[in-house]
Amino acid sequence: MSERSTPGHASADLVGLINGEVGRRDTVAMARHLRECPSCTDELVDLAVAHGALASVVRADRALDGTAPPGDPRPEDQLVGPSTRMPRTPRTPLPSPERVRSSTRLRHGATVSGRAPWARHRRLTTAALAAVAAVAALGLSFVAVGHGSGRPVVARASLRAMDHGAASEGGTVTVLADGSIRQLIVRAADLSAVSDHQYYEVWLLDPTTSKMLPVGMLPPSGRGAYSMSSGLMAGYTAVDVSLQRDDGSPAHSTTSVLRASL
Amino acid sequence: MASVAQRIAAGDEHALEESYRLHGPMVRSYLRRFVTNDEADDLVQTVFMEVWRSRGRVDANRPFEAWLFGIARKRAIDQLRRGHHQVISIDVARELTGADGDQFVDRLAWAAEVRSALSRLSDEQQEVIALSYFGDLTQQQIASRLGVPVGTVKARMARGMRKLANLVEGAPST
Repeated sequence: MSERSTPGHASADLVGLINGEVGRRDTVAMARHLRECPSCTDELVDLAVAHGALASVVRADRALDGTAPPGDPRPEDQLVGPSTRMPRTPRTPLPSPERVRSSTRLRHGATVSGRAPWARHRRLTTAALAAVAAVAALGLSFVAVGHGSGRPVVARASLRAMDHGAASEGGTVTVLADGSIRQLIVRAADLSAVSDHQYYEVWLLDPTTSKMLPVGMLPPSGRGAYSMSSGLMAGYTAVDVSLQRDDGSPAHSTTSVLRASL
Repeated sequence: MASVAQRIAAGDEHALEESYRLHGPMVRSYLRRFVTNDEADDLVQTVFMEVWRSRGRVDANRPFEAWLFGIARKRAIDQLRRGHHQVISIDVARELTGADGDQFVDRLAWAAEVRSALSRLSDEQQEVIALSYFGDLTQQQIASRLGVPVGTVKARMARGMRKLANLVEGAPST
């Protein structure tokens, strides 16, 4: 009815009625019509249900108001975009991307943790969540990601682009110490997108023997963190990033796109 | 279209992401009442990990949001039991435990369910409803804000509200 133009129906504004946007005369007129019109009454039931449901959201938001730190996005921002920013509603932020921790078990047995690829968009990737779940299921412990964790830096090196195309302009590799655990943090700048059947993989490399250890997939964000024992890592002095095909082969593709000497 | 819960149950990772984006803020705000910011961040992820791990137990006859907040409540209680937490008032503690805790979680789960339903409306419908209910604007003010005729706003509101009602009525009940 709210959008009907049929003469006799409560002409147009049941939403306005339930939201208190119509005056006394229209309210009374609509009330009289509603008492006689089953179809309009049906519609009013729909609107009342929706109105009550939405009011419950407003109440819940108010109940939770004040529990979130300032400066985080509010639910309406996520619901309909920034053009509908509301002044009175509470903030219900996603976890700060700086605190997002994720990890996954690698195909080859090492443990990897990676900053959510779209952390700058303030949300956690499904893949990361799923990976975290996988790790939890395996009973592996969480590994904090990124710098600023208070862990000492034991190595830092620049990733240089290799001959194979312009997959990335370069990047950095940082190794943090946490007791007997080493965390390898890889940051590749402007990593090129790849097809659905390709991915980037990070390897540890011993250039003298060409021995290689795959440590995990590098997310499209170009940022990944991988944890392993200090003893395992001690056998390698370089980091390699390869472009792999998803063809089932666990071997290095021989297409190295980035490399760093530790 | 299958619901988020159905898709999570089917192992759809995108549905988990969608749920995290949709429900994560509210779950975090709920948890933040009982634990610190850092703990709340960790617990939110723990909750969604548990959702994913337990996706085989999603009950199609029970609102997904009730299950989700039930998990959040349990994890909050676990966290407080560990003892390394801030002091919370008795009133806030009541929101976590006992009958009051049940009721509070039910309210939040219902609100989350409504948000899920809202997310299934068209962008235009979501926009006018959000401006009306969360922005406290009249239909005339919404029309001015969006630069569209007030009749367009009324039509979008009416259609959106009807669809919302149908969605929440059609959802599984507890």
